[in-house]
Amino acid sequence: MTILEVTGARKRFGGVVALEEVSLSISEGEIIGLVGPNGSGKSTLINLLSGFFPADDGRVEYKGTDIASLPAHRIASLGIARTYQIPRPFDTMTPRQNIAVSYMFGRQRHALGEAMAAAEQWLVFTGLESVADVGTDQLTLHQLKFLELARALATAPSLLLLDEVLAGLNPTEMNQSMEMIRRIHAQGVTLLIVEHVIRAITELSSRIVVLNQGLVVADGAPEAVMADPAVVAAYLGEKGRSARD
Amino acid sequence: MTGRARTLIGFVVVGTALGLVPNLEEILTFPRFYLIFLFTIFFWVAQASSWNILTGYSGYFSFGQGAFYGVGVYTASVLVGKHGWSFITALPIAGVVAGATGLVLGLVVFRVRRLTGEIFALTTLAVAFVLASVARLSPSIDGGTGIFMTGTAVPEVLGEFTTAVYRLTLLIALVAVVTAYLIHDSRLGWGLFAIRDDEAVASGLGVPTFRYKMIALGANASLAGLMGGLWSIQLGFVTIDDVFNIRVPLFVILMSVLGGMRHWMGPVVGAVIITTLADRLNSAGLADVNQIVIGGMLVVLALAVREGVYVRMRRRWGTTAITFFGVLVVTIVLGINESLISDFAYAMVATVVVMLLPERAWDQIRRFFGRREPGAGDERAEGLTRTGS
Repeated sequence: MTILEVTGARKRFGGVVALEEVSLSISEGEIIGLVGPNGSGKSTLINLLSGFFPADDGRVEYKGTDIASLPAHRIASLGIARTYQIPRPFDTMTPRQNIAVSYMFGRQRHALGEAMAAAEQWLVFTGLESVADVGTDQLTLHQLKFLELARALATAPSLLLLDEVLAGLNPTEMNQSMEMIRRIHAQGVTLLIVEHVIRAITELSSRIVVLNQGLVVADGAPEAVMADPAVVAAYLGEKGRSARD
Repeated sequence: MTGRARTLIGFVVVGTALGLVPNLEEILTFPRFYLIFLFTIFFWVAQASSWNILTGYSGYFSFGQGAFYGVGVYTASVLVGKHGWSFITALPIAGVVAGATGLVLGLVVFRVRRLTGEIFALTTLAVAFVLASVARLSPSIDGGTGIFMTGTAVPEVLGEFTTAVYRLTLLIALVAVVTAYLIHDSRLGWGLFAIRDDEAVASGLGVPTFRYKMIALGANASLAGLMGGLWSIQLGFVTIDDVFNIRVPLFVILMSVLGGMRHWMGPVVGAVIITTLADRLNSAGLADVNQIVIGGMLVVLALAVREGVYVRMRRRWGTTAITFFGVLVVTIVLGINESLISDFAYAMVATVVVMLLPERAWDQIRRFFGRREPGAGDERAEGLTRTGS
């Protein structure tokens, strides 16, 4: 069953075209890897799907509802959550309080007292119990990325958009994170993962979508897509392509 | 009993005790001035607490306090002074009109994404100037002549004039503080804190940012206007220059920064300390240096205690109590001052000075006395109450 259907989405900022025209369909239970060189429009697409700004043109249908022009908090209440490439915790709150806020609002209304108690399960899930009640400035990058995950999960999403959760992690941390992503998926969450780490993305994804200059240049099974000449060209330029040939 | 029930009972106890002070006047034979001093504190407690609901909680720095206060003052003055309404009917209208002013302002400023930060602050400041001009130019409001409020009748049940003003200011101050408290420990409050920290992220997690900011602004404006309406009879003669000036917005900022903007008690503590000090400096004939002293204090405190003195008082409550009551008792027993208010002022200054001691020095002192290491929960997170426990 289709959970998200993007049709002809366009977005420009002043004279810069961020999304030329993107169409994309995601089925329930998939893990989609969204890759592409810098400036290809990956983050723009995530921002658009989570309601940070509306699309200039095109439709974004989530479970049959057009969400293209809904405000972010309405989209969150429909069950789409996201993380940020550079972690953006609420700085005057502890990790526990960060998660509580997201549980309180998120997909369903919950009372404050209930939320503080519920935060515990996400702290445990992401292994942040030991830093649950300190200032967020005492967390490592790794922990901050996990806090991003915990906070997104606490909204009880059906569709989770992960913006480079693996970037900047060491190999051990990366394996831990990949394991956690699999566990999230096992709970029935559909995932759209933006990632630069190719090894991780090919291992995790059930399908890979490649963006280049605001256009979808490839869409298919991981091995096939990564071998696609257009993809190689997008990453390495025409020279890379001829070098490979 | 839950923490909330206990706190609410605390409000009732404190409110009742303060409400009975005028009844004790004859028994204790304290000067009438004490009542005026106390209701001046109540005025500022309400102003600072209401301001903090918007600015402290949501992080939108507002200079709009003067405008909301002014709208309240003028609504009551026009209705009573020009149309002969009874004061007690005009009073709630003052709150409603000021609240509506806030909401109209909110509809504009919160719809435009770029109106954040300094631009938001300047816009709210401009509103006061615009309203002042409108009132000055419009004969049906002021027209530049001012409005006489002297001799306004207050309901007899509340006692004679000063007592009535005292009881009404106390009531409004309590409403403002209880509102700030209830919001602080609610979904609304936490949504506002999230907006303050990162509005875009908050929105992405499901916080209805526009609605919450409107509620905060509406609460701020209506409480400020309600107190303004009441204050019109205390002013006696209402003029544009006295009402629409920078004093109110500036003082609420000073008070909240001093006391702390993270916690509902911060502005209360700040209002009490600054009103007391300003009063003492004035009565010592130092009205001119008043603002210099308070301004200097703000600079020192903003640098030394960023979270405000209230958060530190809570962390060092034992020391706070010993310092405050120690100095208070000593000054009273030795009879250093003629006025009890001066004794309180000394005690407050001593307490604030102790709170200036940096955290690191404080930890070393604790360690020296063999206290356990303070927990990892640091001062930054301390501003939010531990709820659900």
